[in-house]
Amino acid sequence: MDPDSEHCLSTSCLLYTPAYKTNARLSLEIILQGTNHVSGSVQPRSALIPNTQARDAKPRLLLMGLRRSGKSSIASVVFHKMPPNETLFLESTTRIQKDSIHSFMDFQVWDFPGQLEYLEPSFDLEDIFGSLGALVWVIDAQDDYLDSVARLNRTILTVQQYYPGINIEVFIHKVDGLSDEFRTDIYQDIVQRISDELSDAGYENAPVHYYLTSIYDYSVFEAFSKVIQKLIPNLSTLENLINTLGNNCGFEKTYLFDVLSKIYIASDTRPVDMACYEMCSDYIDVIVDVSELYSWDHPERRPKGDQIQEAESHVVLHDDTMIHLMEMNKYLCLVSVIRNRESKEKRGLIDLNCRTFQDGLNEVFSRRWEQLEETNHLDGGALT
Amino acid sequence: MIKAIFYSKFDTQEGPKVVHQVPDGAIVPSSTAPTQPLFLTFSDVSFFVIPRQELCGNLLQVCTNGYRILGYPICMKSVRYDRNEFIFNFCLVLSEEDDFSTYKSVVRKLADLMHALEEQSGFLSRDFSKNGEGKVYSLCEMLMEDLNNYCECMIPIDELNTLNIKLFPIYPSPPSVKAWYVPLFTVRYQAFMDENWDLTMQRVVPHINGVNSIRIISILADTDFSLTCRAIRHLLYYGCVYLLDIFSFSAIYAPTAQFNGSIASDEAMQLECARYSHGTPTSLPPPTAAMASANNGSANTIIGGMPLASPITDPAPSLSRDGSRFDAEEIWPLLGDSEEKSSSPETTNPSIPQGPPIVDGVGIVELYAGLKQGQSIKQWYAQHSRELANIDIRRFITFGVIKGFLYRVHKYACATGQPAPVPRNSSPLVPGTAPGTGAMNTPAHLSTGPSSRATTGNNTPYASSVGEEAPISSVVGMGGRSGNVRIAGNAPLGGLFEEDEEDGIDERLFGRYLDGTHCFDQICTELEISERELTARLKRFPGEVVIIHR
Amino acid sequence: MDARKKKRKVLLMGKSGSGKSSMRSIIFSNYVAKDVRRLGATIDVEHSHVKFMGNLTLNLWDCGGQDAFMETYLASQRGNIFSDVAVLIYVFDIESREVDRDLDTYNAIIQALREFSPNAYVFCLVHKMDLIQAEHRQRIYEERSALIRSRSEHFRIDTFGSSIWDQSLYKAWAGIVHKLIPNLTVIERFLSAFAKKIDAEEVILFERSTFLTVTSVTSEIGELNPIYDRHERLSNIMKAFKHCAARNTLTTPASAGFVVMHTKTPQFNTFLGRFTDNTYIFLVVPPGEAAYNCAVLNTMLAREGFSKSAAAGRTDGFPLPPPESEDANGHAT
Repeated sequence: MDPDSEHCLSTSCLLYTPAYKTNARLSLEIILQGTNHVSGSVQPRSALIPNTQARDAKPRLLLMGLRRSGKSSIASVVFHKMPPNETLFLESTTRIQKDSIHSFMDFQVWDFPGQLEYLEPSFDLEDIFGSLGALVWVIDAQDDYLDSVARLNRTILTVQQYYPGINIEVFIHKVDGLSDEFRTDIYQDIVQRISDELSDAGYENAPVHYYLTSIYDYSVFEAFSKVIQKLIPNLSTLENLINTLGNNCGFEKTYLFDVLSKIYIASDTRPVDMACYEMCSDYIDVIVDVSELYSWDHPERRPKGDQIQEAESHVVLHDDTMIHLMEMNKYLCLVSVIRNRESKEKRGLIDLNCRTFQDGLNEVFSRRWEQLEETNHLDGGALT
Repeated sequence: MIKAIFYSKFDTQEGPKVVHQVPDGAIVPSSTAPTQPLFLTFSDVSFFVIPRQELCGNLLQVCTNGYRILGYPICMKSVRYDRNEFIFNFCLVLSEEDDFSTYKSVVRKLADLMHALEEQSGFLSRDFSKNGEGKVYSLCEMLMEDLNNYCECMIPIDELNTLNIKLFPIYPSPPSVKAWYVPLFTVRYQAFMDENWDLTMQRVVPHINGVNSIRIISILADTDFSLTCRAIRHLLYYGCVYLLDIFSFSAIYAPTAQFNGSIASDEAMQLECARYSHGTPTSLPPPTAAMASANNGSANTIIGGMPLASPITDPAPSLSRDGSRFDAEEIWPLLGDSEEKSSSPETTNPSIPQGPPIVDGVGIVELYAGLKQGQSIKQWYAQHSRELANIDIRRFITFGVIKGFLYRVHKYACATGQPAPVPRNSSPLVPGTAPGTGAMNTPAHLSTGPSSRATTGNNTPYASSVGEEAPISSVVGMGGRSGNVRIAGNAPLGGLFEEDEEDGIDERLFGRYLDGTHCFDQICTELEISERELTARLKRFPGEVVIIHR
Repeated sequence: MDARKKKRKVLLMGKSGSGKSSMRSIIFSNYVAKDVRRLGATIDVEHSHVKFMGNLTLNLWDCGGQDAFMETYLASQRGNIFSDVAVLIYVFDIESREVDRDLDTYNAIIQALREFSPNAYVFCLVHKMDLIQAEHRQRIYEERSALIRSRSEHFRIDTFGSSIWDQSLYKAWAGIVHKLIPNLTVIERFLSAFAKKIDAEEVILFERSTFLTVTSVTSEIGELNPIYDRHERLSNIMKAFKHCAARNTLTTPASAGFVVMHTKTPQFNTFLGRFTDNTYIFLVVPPGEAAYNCAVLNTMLAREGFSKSAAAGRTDGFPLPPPESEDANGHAT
C-alpha cells in the first residue's frame, strides 16, 4: 500500500508543469521559515487543493496526538480487528504508519508517532495535510492532557490557515475506567480549553468535534463512523434510502455497515441506540466468524441447488427481537433490528425490499466511483 | 485476661497465615521461640480466622483446645491488591470459660482502626517485617500488655492515629424508667461528680432523694423530661440508683416471698435496717407535717434534708458494716414512750432485759410482718405508733422494698363499661375493715378492697412528694411560680386547686387511664392531680369503675 | 441413579492463581473473560452444583490452591476431599516458575486420588497458554504435558492447553463433559443417522447454558474442513453473542439465548435452533435453498419426536440407558 500511494504521488507530480511546481515548493519553504509571509503564500496553496484531491481520490484520516495516547491501539482495533486487550502489547509507533483501507470507498489511515515534530520545517506540510479528509486528534483522558490540548491548538491554527476544509475530530480517549461524572467533567474542560484558546487566537467556530472513546466498548467505532460519514458524498441521499426501506419493512433501526471495520457509513435517521448498534455490530462478527469456519474450498464441495449469491442471515433472540443481516456487496452489509411482530412474519417482503435497496445502493456507489475516476482523468488531462 | 494476640492475613500464595503473634510461638511454631508449646493448631481454625469473603465484617469466635479465639475479619477489595482482595484479622485468644463480652468491642475497634490505616497508607499490606519485628508486632505486644495490666491502652501509631482502648464492663441495658418512679442513690454522687458531667445530669442529680418522682425531678431541675429519664437510666446502668415507688401514707405494702429468707432470718440485715431507719420520726401527719419537719430540720434525719447526706449511702451497706457491732442502744430505735400499749411485742423480748425499751431485730421483723394487703401505711402506723416513734417510716419501708422483701401494692382503676351501680346500696362489697376511716364517703363501687378508703388521707402520692420536696429545693422558686405552675406545692390547699384541675382534664383522656393497666401513681403523675382528686373524679365517672389492688 | 450421580464429584484443583475459578466462572457462570480479573481468591473449597444437560448434575468442588489449603486437603481433609471423585481437573499455570514443585504437589494429589477414587478420570489443563508466544505454544505444551504424564501414576490422563481468551477453554471443557455424559453413544447414533438423511456436512449438539459441544457428527466431505477447532470456536462465538444480547436486552446472560438462527452464504448454509430443553442443534449443509429448507423442516420434525419422548418421562428426551451400561460406556471411552 505504501509503494502504491507513493507511486500515485509521483505520477501525479509529473502532471504538474515544472514552473508551477517550483513555485509551490518555494512558497512552502517560505511558510515554514516564518509566519509573517503567510498571507502571501495562502493564495497559491488554496489553488492547489482541488488538484491534490483530484490527484489522489483516497481521503486521508490522520491519527495524531501525544505518544502513548492510544492512536495505534485505535487503528489496530478498528481497522485490524485486534482484540482490545492485546493492544497493551503494541509497541510505540516510531514512523508514520500508512494503512490503505480498501472498502466501499478507499481511504488511508495515517498513524502518526506522537513524538514526531511534523510542524518542523523538515516535514512537508503539503505531504501530510494535502489530501486530508479528517484530522483525528487523540487525547488520553487518564493522563494530564494540558500538553496535548496545547499542541492540538497549535496544529489547528497552523493547519486551518492552509486547509480550512479539514475536519478536526478530537477523541477524548481511554474513558473506560472513568466514572460518568468524571467523564463529563473532563469532556467539558477539554472542549472549553480548546475553544477558548482558539477564539483567543481569533479563530471562532472552528470545525472541531469531540467524542468520548474507548477501545473496550463500541464508542470508538461509533466515533469513527461519525468521522467517516462526514467524508461520504451524498450521505443524506443514502440516509433517505435507508429511511424509506426501514419504514416499509418495519425495521426499528437499520445500519449500513462496512463489514471489515464495522464502522457504519449510514443509518436511518432515528435516534442512535447504542444497544441496537452493539447487537448489530456483534452479529456481523458472528456471521463473519462462522463464515470463516465453513467457507473452505474443495472440489468435492458442491452446492445442492440454486441460491442467491449474497449472504443473508437472521437470528431471533430470547425476547423475540430479530436481527436481520443482508450482504450488499463485497464491503457493505445492511443490518436491521426488528421488534415489530407483524414485520417479522413478512420475511419475504423484507428480503425483496432489501434486494431492491441493494440494487439502488450498488448503482449509486458504482456510478459514483466511475464518475470519480473519469473526472480524475479529465483533470489530469486538463493539466498536462 | 488475654492469652495471646495474633495478626493473620490471607496470603495469595500460602493461604491463611499468622504474620505476628504475641507471645511468640503461641499460635504457630516460631524459630525464635522453639520450645514454647502451641496453644492450638492454627490449621484447624484457620477457616474461621480467615473465612470466606462473605463472612468478613462480622465478629467471629471459635473455641478450640480450651481457648476462645475472638476475631473480626476484614476483606478489603481493591485492584491494587494481588487477587483484588486483602483479607486480614486481628484475633484475641482468651480462655474458653472466661467472660469475653468486654473484648468483643476491642476486637471490633481494632479491626476498624486497621481497616482505616490500611485504607490510608497500606499500613498492613506494606508491612513485610518478620514475625517478632515491626510496627504491627509491637502494636500487638503493647496492646496485650496494657490491656492485661491496666485494662486500657493508648498506643500512638502515627502522627494522626492512636489506638485508644479501654475495657468496659458490660451491663445489661437498664429498664425504661417511668415518670412516677422515684430514684434513690446508692452512692454518694458528690464523691465523683465533676464539672465535665453531662449538663442535664448535673442539674438532675441534686433532686434525687428517694422522694421525688422522676416527673417531679424534671420539673424541679427544669430539665426536659425525656433527657431526665435518660440521665436516670444512665445512673441506673451503672447501678448508682434504685428505682422506688412514690411513698405515701395511703400506699399499701406487703411482704414478698423473700421475707422469710431475708430479713426474718438475717440478723445482719435487721441491724442494717435499724441503722438505716433509726431516726426522728417523720411522724404521722401528712405532707403539711413534712413541711414543718423540714423547717426545723437541721438534723440530718429529716426526710427532706437527708438524701443529700451520708445516710443515703446506706441502703446497701451490708457488705461493709456487717461484722462490726455497735452498742445496741445506738442502733436499735427506742420505743416511743407515749401511751403504754401493752400489746407491743417488744416488752416480751427477752434479749434486752433492761435499759430503755427498744425495737430490736425481732421487733423490726414484727413490724414488717404487720404490713399486709388491704392495709395502708397509715393504718399500719396507727397500730404500731409506739414502736415507730423513733423510726423513719419512709426509710423503713424503702429499706424493705430495696431489699426485695416488701413490695408496693399498686392500685389500678378499670372501667368495666357497665353503668355505674346505684350508690349506697353496695356496702356488701366493702369488707368491713377500718370502719373509722371509712366513715367519710367511701364510694363502694370504686373499690374492690377496703384500702380505697385510704384516699381520705390528705397525702396523695403526688401531693405528698411535692409537699415534702418544696421546702428543700425551691423555697424561693415556689412562691414565684405557685400561681402559674400547675404542680405548685398547694395540694394542701385543696378545694380551689381541685376545681381548676378538673376542668383542665379531658374526660376522654381520663377515660383512657381506666383500662386497668395504669396504676394510680401513673395516673396521678401524668394528669398531675392528687390521689384524692383522682378518687373524686372516679366517683363522678359515668360508669362502673373497679379498683384493683395488685 | 440420580442419587448416585449426585455423589460423583468433579474436583477442580491446582496451584493458587492458576485460573481455576476463572474458567469455572466463564464456563458455568456466564462470565466473560475480562470480568474474571475482578474475581477474588477462592478460600477453602467452594462447592457448586452445576446443571448440565438438564439431568446431569456436576458436583463441582473448586478447591483454593494456596499452600495452606493444599496441606489440609492432603492431610486432615484427605478422605473428605478425595473420596467419590468422578473427575479430577488439575490446572497448571504455564507461567509458573516452580515447575518441579508444582509437579510434586500434583503427584501428591494423584497419590491421594489413587487411594480414595482409583477410577476417577484425570484431566490436566495447561492453562494461560495465551501468555506464551504463538509459535512456541505447541512445543511448550507438549513438553509440559509429557512431564505431567510422567507424574500421573497409573492414571490415564487427558491434557489440554487452554486459555480463557480463546476457544481452547471450550475445547478442554467439552472434552471433560463429553466424558461425563452417560448416554452419549445413543445420542451419537441418532445424530449420524439424522445427518445422513438431511445430507448435512456437519451436525453439532451444543449444551444450552454453557454452549459446550456435547457431541457432533461430520460427513466425509465435512471432514475435509481444514479448521480443526471449529467447534470450540463456535462455542466461543455464540457465547460471546449471547453475552452481547443479554447486555443489550437488559437481562442476565443465563436467561438470554437464541430461538433460531438462519444463515445462508454462497459456500454453505447453517441453521441453529433449540433441539431439546437443554441443547441447541447446529447444522451445516451445502448451499441450495430447497435442500436447506428441507433440512430445517426435518430438524423440526426430529425435535418434535424428541419432545414427545420427553413428555413420556425422560427429562431431556434422550433415551437414557440403564445405569450399568452408562457406567460401562463411560469407562470404555
